[in-house]
Amino acid sequence: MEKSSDQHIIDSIRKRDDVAFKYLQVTFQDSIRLMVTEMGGSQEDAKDVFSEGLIALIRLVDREDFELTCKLGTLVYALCKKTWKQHLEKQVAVNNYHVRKLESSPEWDFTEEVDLQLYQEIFWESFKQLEKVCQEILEGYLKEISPKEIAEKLGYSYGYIRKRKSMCHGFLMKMIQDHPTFRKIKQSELALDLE
Amino acid sequence: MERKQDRNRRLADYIYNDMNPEEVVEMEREISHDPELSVSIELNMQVKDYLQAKIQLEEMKADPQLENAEKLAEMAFENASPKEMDKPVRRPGRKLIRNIAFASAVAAGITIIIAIALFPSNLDQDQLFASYYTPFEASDYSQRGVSNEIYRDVAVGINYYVAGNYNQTIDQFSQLASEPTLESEVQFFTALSYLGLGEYRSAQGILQSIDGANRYQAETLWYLSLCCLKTGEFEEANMLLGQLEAYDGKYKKDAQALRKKLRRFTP
Repeated sequence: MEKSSDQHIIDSIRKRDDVAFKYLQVTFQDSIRLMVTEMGGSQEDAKDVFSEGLIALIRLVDREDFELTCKLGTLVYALCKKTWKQHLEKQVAVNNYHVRKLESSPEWDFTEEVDLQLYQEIFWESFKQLEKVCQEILEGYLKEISPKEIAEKLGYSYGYIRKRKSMCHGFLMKMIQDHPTFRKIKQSELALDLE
Repeated sequence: MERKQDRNRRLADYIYNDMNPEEVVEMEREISHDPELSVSIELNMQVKDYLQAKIQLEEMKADPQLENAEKLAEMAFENASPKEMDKPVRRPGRKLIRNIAFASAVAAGITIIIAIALFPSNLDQDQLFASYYTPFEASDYSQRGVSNEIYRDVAVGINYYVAGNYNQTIDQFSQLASEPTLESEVQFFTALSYLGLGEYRSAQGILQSIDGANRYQAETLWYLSLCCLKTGEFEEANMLLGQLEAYDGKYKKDAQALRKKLRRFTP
């Protein structure tokens, strides 16, 4: 993301332009959700953290002495991380309540969340095992860089990049689907489906 | 073998938005007719969405400017002393609140989906329907750029709907049925009101008759698929949810999740 466009978003936030908030939501919500879940939070916590992080951002950009000295995405990350840490501190204070709450909610189970975390670990592990050039090509696509730019950066033709991307993605999916833990989870899901 | 390779290539092109619009339409047609392909797309999308978020997160963590960002974050929270926190922040408009609420709804949806998955053997279509059905968030639709009598009547109907007065909504929109420019809107809110009243067959019939080209296309597909779920037409529901792949946002994600759950009901 270019700095100039970051500044444009900041100006739009000051004007309370809905487009800016939509942009923040579409661009950063998934990575913030991942940050929270990686730090032990739930999907519900992630939702609260992102909303509170945005409110903190509004408060910050409204300050007259505010000057953007970093990427907007990194600022959103820092604000949400700080929000989550504060949330954890508060949670310690009400820990007993939470314990009671969990005990009184026998229907709650973490199986699915654990499975999701395992899946994510497999996805990332498999991605890191790809050849360097495959990682670079897929990363380019995932960052929504145009295939032409990816091709120029890596010194290949567009046609080659497009074809190679498909191959790399195919390798990635095969690695994931052949992963013993992935197969194990899938088998257990299948068994549940058949019940 | 060659056909399989071609399909995998096209699948990757689709996942990474590397197709022209005609190819996208063709691919989505295939997806809606091929449950196996649909399942495959779902996993591929899951991998892609995760990697996209993960790569962005790792970049944020490793950003050399992170220190600056953390200083700014400190500043944001320094400012927010308990007294300061009580001071009202000039909040964004209703639309933003809706956006945040929308984000919350998506996250809540995910939580519900997780909760549902805990007892798959006890699931039935009613529970699934109840987990996914929420009345249409229509409050913003009652405001129009042009203020005239017809739009005021539409706004009254929508406000009835938002308040959960479904019989009054049906009455109000029935008075607007002769207005040709409002045909799809009248049908849409009438159908949603029947849905709210639990008259699923009526809602389904009306939603099916709505002309495709209207401002509520994704919503029509979504609520129609829920009607089909409720009436036990699972294959039809699956096909409609597949069509929502073409729409970004809440409906697409919910449709993907619901299709996964629907597999429990389809052979």
